[in-house]
Amino acid sequence: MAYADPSEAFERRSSTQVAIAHVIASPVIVKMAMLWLIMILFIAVTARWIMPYDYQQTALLSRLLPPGATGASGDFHLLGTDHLGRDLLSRLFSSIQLTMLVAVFGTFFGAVVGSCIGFVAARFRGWVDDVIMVLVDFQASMPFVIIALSVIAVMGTGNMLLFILLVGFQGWERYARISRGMTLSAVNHGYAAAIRLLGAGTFRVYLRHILPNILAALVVQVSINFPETVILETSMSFLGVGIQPPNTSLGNLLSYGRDYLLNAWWIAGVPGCAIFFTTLSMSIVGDWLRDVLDPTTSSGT
Amino acid sequence: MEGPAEELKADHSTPLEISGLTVSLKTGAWKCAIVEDVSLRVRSGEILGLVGESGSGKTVTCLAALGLLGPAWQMEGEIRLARTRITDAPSAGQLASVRGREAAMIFQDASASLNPIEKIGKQLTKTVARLRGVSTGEAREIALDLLRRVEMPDPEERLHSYPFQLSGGQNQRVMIAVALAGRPELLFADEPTTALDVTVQSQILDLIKSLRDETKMGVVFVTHDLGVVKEVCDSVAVMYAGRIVESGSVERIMNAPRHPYTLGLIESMPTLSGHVPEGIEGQVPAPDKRPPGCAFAPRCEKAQEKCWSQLPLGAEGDGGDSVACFFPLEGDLGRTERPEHPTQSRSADEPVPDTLLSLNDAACDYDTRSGKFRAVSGITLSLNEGDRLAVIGESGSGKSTIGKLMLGIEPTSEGAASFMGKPVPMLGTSDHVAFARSVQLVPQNPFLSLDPRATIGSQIEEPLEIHGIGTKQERRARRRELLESAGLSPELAMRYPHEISGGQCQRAVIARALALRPKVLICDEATASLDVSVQARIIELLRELHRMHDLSIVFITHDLRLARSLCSHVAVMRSGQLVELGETSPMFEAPEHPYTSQLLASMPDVESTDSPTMETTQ
Amino acid sequence: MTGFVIRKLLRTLFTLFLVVTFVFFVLRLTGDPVSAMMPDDTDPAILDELRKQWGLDRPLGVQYLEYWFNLLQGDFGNAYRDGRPAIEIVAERVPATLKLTLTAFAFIVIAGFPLGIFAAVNRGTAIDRAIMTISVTGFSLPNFFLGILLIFLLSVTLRLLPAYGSDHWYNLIMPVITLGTAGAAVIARFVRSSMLEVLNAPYIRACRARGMTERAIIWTVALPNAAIPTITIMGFMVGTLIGGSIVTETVFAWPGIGRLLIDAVTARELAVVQTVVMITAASMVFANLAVDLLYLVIDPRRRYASGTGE
Repeated sequence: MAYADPSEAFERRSSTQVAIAHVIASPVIVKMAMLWLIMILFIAVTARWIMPYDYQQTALLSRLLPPGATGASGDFHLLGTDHLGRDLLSRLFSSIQLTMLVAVFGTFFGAVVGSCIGFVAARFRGWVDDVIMVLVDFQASMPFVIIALSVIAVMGTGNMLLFILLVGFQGWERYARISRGMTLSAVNHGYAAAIRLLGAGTFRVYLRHILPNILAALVVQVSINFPETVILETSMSFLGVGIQPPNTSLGNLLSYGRDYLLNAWWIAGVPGCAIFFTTLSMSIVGDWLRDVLDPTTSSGT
Repeated sequence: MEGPAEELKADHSTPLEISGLTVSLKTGAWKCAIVEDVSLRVRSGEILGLVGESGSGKTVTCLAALGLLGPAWQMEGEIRLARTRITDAPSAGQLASVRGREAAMIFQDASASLNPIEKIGKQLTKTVARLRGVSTGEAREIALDLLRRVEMPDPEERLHSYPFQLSGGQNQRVMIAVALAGRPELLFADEPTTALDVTVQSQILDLIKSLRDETKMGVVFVTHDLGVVKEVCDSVAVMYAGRIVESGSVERIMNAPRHPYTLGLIESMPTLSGHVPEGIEGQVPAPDKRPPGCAFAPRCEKAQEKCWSQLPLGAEGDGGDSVACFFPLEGDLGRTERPEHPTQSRSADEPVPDTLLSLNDAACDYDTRSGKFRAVSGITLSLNEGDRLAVIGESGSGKSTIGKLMLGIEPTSEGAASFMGKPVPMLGTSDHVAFARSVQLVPQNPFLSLDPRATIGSQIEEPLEIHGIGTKQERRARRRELLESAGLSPELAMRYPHEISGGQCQRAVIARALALRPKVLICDEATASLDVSVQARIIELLRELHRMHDLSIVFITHDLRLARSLCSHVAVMRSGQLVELGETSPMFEAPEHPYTSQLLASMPDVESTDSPTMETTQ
Repeated sequence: MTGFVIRKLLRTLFTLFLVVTFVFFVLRLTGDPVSAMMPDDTDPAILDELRKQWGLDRPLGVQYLEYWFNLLQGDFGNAYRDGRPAIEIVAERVPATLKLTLTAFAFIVIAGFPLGIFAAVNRGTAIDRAIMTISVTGFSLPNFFLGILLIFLLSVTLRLLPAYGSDHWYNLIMPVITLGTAGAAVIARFVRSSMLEVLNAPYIRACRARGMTERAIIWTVALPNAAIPTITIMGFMVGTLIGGSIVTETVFAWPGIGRLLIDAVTARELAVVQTVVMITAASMVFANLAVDLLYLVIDPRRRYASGTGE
C-alpha cells in the first residue's frame, strides 16, 4: 500500500508503459536501490573490461595501501590494495562478477526447479503430492546452510558448477509451496475451474491462465530469495567452503580483510558494503515490487 | 472544532439526533466526502431503517456516531446521543464511556466480531463488569441472564463455548447480549441478519423487536433489504450516494414512495407474489465522482436540467415525511397490473418437451478427513426444455451440490445424473468437452471466476477458441454480439475484471457462458453478491435470454422471492434431502411441506400485508 | 486431540528417519568417503584395504542397516585424526553453542516483539517508518559483515570489548547482536503485520464499539491474537539461529559446534560432520513438534478442531 499508486492514469496502456509509469512513480529510495542494482549488474557484465589492473597481480611493495594511494610503481589505486598489494578495485569488480553470476544463475535454477516441483505436486496430487510436501516441510525446517555444508564436506570444495546449483537450491521449497498452493486454489475455486468448465484442457488452463497469474508471486519470491542467495554464497565463501582462490567472491574478499581491521579497514569495509548495499537494495526493490504486482492493492478495489 | 464530547442535559426520549453530518475520508491533500449533510433523529422505542445500496454511506453514518471511524476520517456537523455530543476528534476516554452505555452496535458478521480465542462467557462477563461496574461474580449472573434474554439455547453451557463452536445465528445472539450489557439507550444494528439463513433471520428480527419493546431503546437498523425494513422498522431513511434522499414512516414509503430512487429500489425487490423486479439502470457514482446536482440524476428517468446542476434540499430522517427531489412522485405505488405470470402451466395439447438434465435417486458424498460426508441423497428431479428450475435451500442444504452433479464437477455416489438420456460426463474427461457446449455455469462470485490478468473480451472469446468455432473475425463479431446481448457496451472488451463493476462482471460471465449457445445455464447464487437494483437487472437479463434464446435455467438460490420472479419450477432442499418439488405458483400459494411454509413465512417481503412474524406468533 | 498429538509424533519420527537416510546417502552416494579422506596420492591398494576395513565393500542395504544399528547405540563414528568418538567431540562443544543461541533467542524476542508492536500501534507514523527501516536494514545485513563491523567499532576503534574470547558475560554481547539482529528484524516485521491484521479484524471494532479503551484492546485482545501466528516464526528462528551460529562462531572464534562444523568440513571429518547435522536436524524437528504442541495449548480453535478430527 505504501508504494502503490492506484491512480487511474495507469489504465489502458501497454504493460511496458505501465511498468515505466510505476518506476517513475516509485519513491526516491526505491529509485536509488534500482540505480545501485543496475550499477552492480553493469559491473558484473563488464568487469573484465573495466577493471584497471589484473585482479591477481600482486605487488609486494605496494601492500595495504589506503584508498586513493599511488603504489611503488606509480599505479593509482582508487580503493587501495590488499595484503599482497593487489588492486582492491579490480578485485572488487571481479568479485561482484562472480557473486552475481552465482546469485543470478542459482536463483534462476532454484526458481525453475522449485516451481516445477510445485506444479507436479498440484497436478498429480495423491502420494506424489504427499511425498513432495513432506520434503518441503523438512526443507523448510532445516537450515539450508547445514545441508549445503554436508554436501560440500563430501564433494569437496572447488567445484564451481556444483556450488552454484547448491546455493541456488536454497529456497526451492518456497517456490514449490507457492506454485502448488496457487495452482490448487485456482483449479479448485476460481477462474481455472470456470475455464475448465468451458471445456479447456490442462495445457490451456496452466499455461494461458495459471502461469501468468502466479508469475507475479514467483517474481516477488525471486526478489526475496535473491538477497538470501547472495548472503548464502558470500557466507560460505567467507567461511572458506565456497568459492576457492584464485577465483574470488565478495565473501572471500571480506574474509581476507578480517585480519587487517586494525591497520587496513578498507579491505573488509569495501566488499562488506558492496554486499550490504546489494542485499538492501534488493529487499527495498522487492518490497516495492510486491506492492506494485499485487492486483488487490494496485487495482484499488 | 469545539470541545469534544461534552455532557448534555439527558434527553432520554431522543437517544440519537444527527444534524448536518458530513464525513470525509482524507489522505494527504486528497479529501472526499463519503456522507454529506445527513440529519437523523431516533426516538426511544423507535426502529429507524437506514436503507441503501453498497456505497450509500449508511454504515459510515453509524460508525461516525460512535466515533468508530479511523484517524483518516473527518467529521463535520453534530451528533447527539442521549447524554453526550460527539464531534470531530472526541477524546478517547469520553468515547469509551459513551460506547456500550449510551449506544451499542452489532455487526453483520457476528462470528468475526467476537474475540476468537476467548470464551463467550468471559467476553460477556468482562463487558458486563466493566459497563455496569459490578464484581465478576455478579457479572457472571448477569451474563447468564442476558444469554437467556436473547433466547440462547443452553445458556449455561454456551458460556463455556468459543465463538467458532457456535452458529452464525447464535453468535449474533451473543453479540446482542454483549450490546445489552451496558443497558444502552440506542442500538446500531448494521446488517445484522444479512449473513444468516432466512429462518434464523426472522428469529433474530423478532428478538430485536421484542428487546426494543422490553427496553424501549431506539434502534438504527441498517439494511439493503426493504423486505426486512417492512418487517421490523417504524420509520425509514433512504440513503443514496452519501445523502438521505427520502424519509418517512414505513407504510408511507412502501406504499407511496416519492423519490424516484426509492421507487426504483422498491421495484427492484422481488416479491413472494411474483412481482418481476425492475432494476435501475447505471450504477452508484463513486464518492469522488458525484455530480454537482442530484446524485441520482444520471440514473433518473424524470431528471430535468435543474436536477443536474442544483442540489435538491436534503431530506431529514426525523420520522417526518421529507424527500430530496425537485419533482417528487405523487400518489400510491399502485401496483395494479399483475405482471405476466412466470409460471403458466402448459396446455394439454402441447407436446411434452424433452428432458434435458435429470437426477435419478442421486446421492453425493464428499471426502473429509473424518470419512465420507453425504451432501445430498435420494434426489430425483428433472429439467425439461424451456424450464426454469429454482433449487432453494438454506446454507448446508446441499443445493450447490445439485449444480455440481449436473455439471459433472462431482460424481454421483448413488443413482445417476444424466443429460439428454446419457450420463453426465465427469469434468476432465474427453466427453465433458462436448457436454460443456450444452451446459454452462454462472457462479456466485463473478470476480473469482474471471481470470484477473486477461481482458473481458478475450475471456468471452475463449470458449469459441477452445472449441475451435469460427475464424478470428467471426469470433470478434460474435464477441460483440455476446457483449450486447448481455447488456454490456463493446468497449468493455478491452477492460480487465477489476476495472469494471460487480454487475458488469456478472454480465461478462453470462456472456462467456452463452458463447457456446448452451441449452442449459446453471446459476449458482448468481446474484447473491450484487446490490438489489443490479440483481434485478440480471434477473431481467436472464428472463430475456430465456425468452429470446430458449434457454433453460437452473437457478440455485436462498432467496424464495427470486425463485418466484424467475422460475417455473421449484425444488426445495433441506439437509441434503429434496423436500418439495413442483410448479412455482401452486407451491407458493399452498406449500405442502411444513418446511416450505416455514421458509415462505420467514422470507421478508415488501408486498406482504402483515408481517410474517405475526403469522408465526398467532 | 490425542489423535493429533500422535500424528505429530509419528511425523516427527518420520522426519528423523528421513534425516538419517539423507545423511547416509549423501555420505555414501555422492562420493567415496575413503578417497575423500585420504590424500590424493594414496596408494589404491591402501584405499581398497581401508574400504574393506570400514565395510564399504558390502551391499548398500547392509551398510544402511548397520548405520542405523550403530546410530541407535549412540555410535556416530570416530574422527580419523585422533580416533575419538565424534559424538564426544561434538558434545563438548554443545554448551558454548547453547549459551550463544539461547541468549540470542532471548535477544530476538526481547527486541523483536516490542519493536513490532510499537510499529503496529503507531502505524503510518515516523516511528513506524523508522522501525521498519531498521528492520529492513537488519535483515539485509549479512551477519559476517555485522560481526566484523562490531569488532571494528567496539574492539578496534573504541576498545570497549575484546574481539575474541568466551569466558565472560561481556564476551557474549557482540556475538549475540551479530546472531540475533536478522532474527529480531524478521520478528519485528512479522509481529507488526500480524498486529495490523488483527487490529483490522471485525472483533477489534466490536470491542471499540462496546467501550473498551484502546490500551485494553491492544494488550488483552489484539496482542494475544497476534501472538499466535508468531509461534511458527519462532520455530523457524531455531533453524536460523543454528545456521547463523556457524558464521558467528567463526567470526568471534567461539568454541561451539558451528565452528567445529566448518573445521570438520574443511578437514573432511565426515563423522563429525554427520553428527553435527543430525544433532541440528533433531533439534529442528523437536522445535517443530514443540511449535505444534504449543499451538494446541494456546489456540482453542486448533485444540477443538483437532479434537473432533474435523
